Amino acid sequence: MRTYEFDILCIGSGVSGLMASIAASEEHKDICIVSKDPFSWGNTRISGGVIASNQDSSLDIDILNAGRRLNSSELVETLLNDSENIHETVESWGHIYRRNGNKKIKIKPGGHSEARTYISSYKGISLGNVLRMRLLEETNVKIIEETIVCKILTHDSRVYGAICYNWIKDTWYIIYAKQIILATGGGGMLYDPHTDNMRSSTGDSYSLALQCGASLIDMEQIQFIPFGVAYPQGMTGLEIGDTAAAGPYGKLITEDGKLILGNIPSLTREEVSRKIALAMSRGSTELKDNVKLDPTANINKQDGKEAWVNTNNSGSLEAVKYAYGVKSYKWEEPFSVIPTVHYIMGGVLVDQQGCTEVDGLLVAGEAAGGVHGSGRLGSMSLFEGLVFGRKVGKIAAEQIDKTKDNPFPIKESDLIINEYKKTISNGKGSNSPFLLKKKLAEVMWKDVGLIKTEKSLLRAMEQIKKIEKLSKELFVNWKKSEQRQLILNTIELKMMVTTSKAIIVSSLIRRESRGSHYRLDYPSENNSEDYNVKVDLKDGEVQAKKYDKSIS
Amino acid sequence: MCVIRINVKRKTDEINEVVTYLVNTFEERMTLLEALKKIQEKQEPTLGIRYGCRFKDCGLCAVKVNGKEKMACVTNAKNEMLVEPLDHVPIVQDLIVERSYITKMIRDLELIPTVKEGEASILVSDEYMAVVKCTDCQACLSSSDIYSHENRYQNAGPLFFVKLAQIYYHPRLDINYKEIAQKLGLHEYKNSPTIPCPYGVPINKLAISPFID
Ligand SMILES: Cc1cc2nc3c(=O)[nH]c(=O)nc-3n(C[C@H](O)[C@H](O)[C@H](O)COP(=O)(O)OP(=O)(O)OC[C@H]3O[C@@H](n4cnc5c(N)ncnc54)[C@H](O)[C@@H]3O)c2cc1C
Ligand code: SF4
Ligand code: FES
Repeated sequence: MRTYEFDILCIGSGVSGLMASIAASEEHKDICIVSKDPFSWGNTRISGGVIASNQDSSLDIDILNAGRRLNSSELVETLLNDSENIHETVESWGHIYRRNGNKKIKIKPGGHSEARTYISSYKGISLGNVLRMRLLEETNVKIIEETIVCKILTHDSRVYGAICYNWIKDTWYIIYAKQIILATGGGGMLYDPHTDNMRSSTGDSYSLALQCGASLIDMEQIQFIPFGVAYPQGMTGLEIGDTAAAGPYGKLITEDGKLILGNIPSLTREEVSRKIALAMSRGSTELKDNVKLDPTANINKQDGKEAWVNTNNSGSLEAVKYAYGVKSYKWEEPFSVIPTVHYIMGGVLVDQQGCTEVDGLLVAGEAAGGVHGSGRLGSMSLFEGLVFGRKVGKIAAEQIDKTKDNPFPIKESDLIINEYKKTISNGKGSNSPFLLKKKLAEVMWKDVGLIKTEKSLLRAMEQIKKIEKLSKELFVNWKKSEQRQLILNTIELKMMVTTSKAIIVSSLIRRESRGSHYRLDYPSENNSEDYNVKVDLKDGEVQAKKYDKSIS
Repeated sequence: MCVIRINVKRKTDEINEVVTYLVNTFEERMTLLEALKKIQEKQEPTLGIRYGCRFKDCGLCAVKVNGKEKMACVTNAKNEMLVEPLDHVPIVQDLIVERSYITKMIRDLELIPTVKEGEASILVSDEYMAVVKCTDCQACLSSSDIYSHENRYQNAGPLFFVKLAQIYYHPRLDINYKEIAQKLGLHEYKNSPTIPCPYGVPINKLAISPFID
């Protein structure tokens, strides 16, 4: 056990955590950045394009369109206003966007009304490396990697630190800090293997926030990217692409060649994913049939061929080649596709400064909710992470100057950790967290996935509660170092249970279909009423209610 | 039904041996990573494995398969495969090797560039595009017999030479190449046999030769 003390603790080292830490270190604060992954790993590493800033109002309109009026217009406005010079800044640190001559190349991902995505020199890897390099220049930053934050500590609704477990070193820490930035990303693994997210995306953000008194918003809005790999085992769920990846002439067909959908690139991710789900389920909630993407008509047309080159350059056809073979890769034959969880639009409720209802807790990146409403356009989140990361880092630094020293509660650090361990497992059981995680993800995919009904959601809640009960009797021995990954997964499982409940209760409240949320029992959008769904943890229960921003 | 045997070199506080596991592939193709995950899920919850993206983007799943460095997520599981942790890097547990020293080395060796003044060109060369692909997977440290972890502050190893090359071929970054090459012990690699990279980074050609005069 070790303890540390800093001004600011930043949790997560994807684009938003790195940007926040850079901004705060530029203000000469003492910072500690902790990540469950190796330093500067996260979904950021495996992503791609970034939206260009300084847009005219058309971007604003596109964002609100995709979000079907659930977006927080204030947050969208802040995002666009604060994006000034963001790309110049990261390029001045050594990042490179691809160019044609002197002009940055722009492409048009699905759902956008015009071409406005910049392409990094080499995907998220290049962005991650540049931000890593930039942060390592700063001497006032402590880096703690391969360490999971298990719980954020509060006193009188104000943060003062976090309980952490370094799963490589098999060591516990308490990190005391006056301001905490939550930049822990999304939660695709709640639907494993039906996700293209990193293993570490277990939705910790949402559970950490709830548990320390913050609220969540729009948690029923889970984005499925329409084209994911269906098989072989181990590749299910990997991203093939969004609607642009069909090429201008691609169409969706049934197993026996019947047309399901054409004109795909003009549609949003939400629309196409829903269409595939309905075709697969034939009107029930159970996914039975196989749907194929038939891109073959592209290869006889000039713009179709160009689309292949663009898709190939983005790298996502490689998964097609490895899964289905060269003919599918070259768009010479149709291949199976299945929507896959890509992004969680919902997240922690924040104001325009990234602050939450909990004093000293700020949030940035995929962890936060509000910007995307019920549908997210491609290339938006790296942009969001860059802009809000920088902003939140600055605000946290300013808060340090404003707040007087806050004395940390004097409870013994060992005691805090032991109390926490007791809430995780009694250490006497025989259940494996790996199996329970798998079970949880099966429930989420089957009953809280592409197609939901009241019945499926209630069934899911019952199942999740069973899993929660079993998870109290896990096979965990805190004293054996060979259990490091078991301990890590046990901590994650506990958070996944809470986040799953938040998604289920939100989905129950929204008795309509909107954006990424599709209810078979309420299949249309209720145009007469726009509201968000807010989730809180009260007396140990995850509760949801309608939330009208204009009133609060 | 099709059952294959996977032999895993295990190392924990208590075990230090090759253990054979039977994996049911249901007659389908399966990635090696998936087979290892299945073992962890169903048979041996303490089996240590590391991965992230499941398809070669994150660089976290490198292991040795029948003696050669491979990414487990893009290797098909085959009967009687021998899976071992990478060589030359300290083992944490089973197939998991250390990584956090990489961050520390970048800082300690000051592998941090400055940005050239003025409106430098932003045209990227083929060489830059070849070295920027490095995922820090550590396979090159494992396959090079010259690398030794204990001596890493005298002889940093190919992964770090590639970091230097990323600065060298970058149109706007700069660093004192001579001094850093010296610090990294690049000269030790003057006659190194070709070092393979799962990501196709031409390590000898672009990350060693240019710095040896
Ligand atoms: C395959 C794929 C492709 C994508 N392509 C694009 C694209 O082209 N353009 C785009 O804009 N977006 C894209 N996205 C979305 C985008 O990558 C993410 O939304 C974005 O990277 C989120 O950044 P972040 O900083 O919020 O989180 P992440 O980059 O996911 O980082 C989260 C960090 O938090 C850490 N962490 C998590 N939990 C804990 C915990 N409990 N304790 C300590 N640390 C923790 C993780 O280790 C990690 O360092 C893509 C996503 C995927 C999966
Ligand atoms: S150079 Fe190649 S082998 Fe070495 S770390 Fe980078 S990607 Fe891995
Ligand atoms: S799991 Fe990411 S490279 Fe293999």
